Amino acid sequence: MFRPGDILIYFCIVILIIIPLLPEQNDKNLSSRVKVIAGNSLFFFDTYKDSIYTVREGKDSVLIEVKNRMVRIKSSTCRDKYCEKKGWLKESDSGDIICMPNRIIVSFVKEGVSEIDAVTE
Amino acid sequence: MKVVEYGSRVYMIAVFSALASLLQLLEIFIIMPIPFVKIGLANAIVLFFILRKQFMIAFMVNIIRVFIGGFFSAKLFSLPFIFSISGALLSFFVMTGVFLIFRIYVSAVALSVCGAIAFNMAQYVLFMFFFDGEAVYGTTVSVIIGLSVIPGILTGVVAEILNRQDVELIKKTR
Repeated sequence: MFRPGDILIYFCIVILIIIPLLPEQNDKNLSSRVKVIAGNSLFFFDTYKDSIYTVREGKDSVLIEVKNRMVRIKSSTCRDKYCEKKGWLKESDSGDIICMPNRIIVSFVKEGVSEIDAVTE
Repeated sequence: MKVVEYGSRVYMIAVFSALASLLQLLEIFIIMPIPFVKIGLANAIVLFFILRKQFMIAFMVNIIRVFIGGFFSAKLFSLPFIFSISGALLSFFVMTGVFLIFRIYVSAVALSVCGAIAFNMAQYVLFMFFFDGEAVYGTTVSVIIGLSVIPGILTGVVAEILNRQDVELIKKTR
């Protein structure tokens, strides 16, 4: 029922089973950037460099902080400060930080990954 | 002593195709604890002939039993039939290829596991091709391979037991 060649075959099978179970590590290797939509303007910030950016939309301005591959709106000129209360957004999070009064949306985009889910004609 | 000749080969293909088809149809009544998993006892006969190096008989039995199974389950030339025949063909070529490469250094159980994985992977790739556009090597593949191992082992054990028997039908065909 068992012969020496079986070891190689079973080893290959185990490898084939294990490899797809490690998708997280592959995702981490994909470099991602912070995408900021401010009104009609579009900005991209690198995540590997910790820094604070000022984004102006009309008279208002927003401070966006990128740190440890996370992003948050540090301060905003809007009234309710919901965007500041949202806190840090991680790379693995799927949501956005939205500041409605300033018309600013902050999110992560993975490079090489299409943002389009489907196209209808 | 030449055991198998042309005339007897046709006889054996007929008999073992019928047996494989019967096993395939009887498998419907075996309830497995895991859904979508079949034992694939018909594959034991194919594997038995591969182990005896009678590849043509194994190939013919494999194809004919899919046709007969498709006919009796009213799925002949339908999509499940295409899945089934693709899986059967791929599993046959994989089992034969592994057997020819490793020869005596590989057991029937390992061959059967390879065949079961090939069978299910062919079906998965075709399913994804027809319904989802592209097949992705992900967790689903991992689960499919994992679920293929148990029936593969069962079929392999049956084929190994068959191979150890001195089957009279093969020696007295004429």
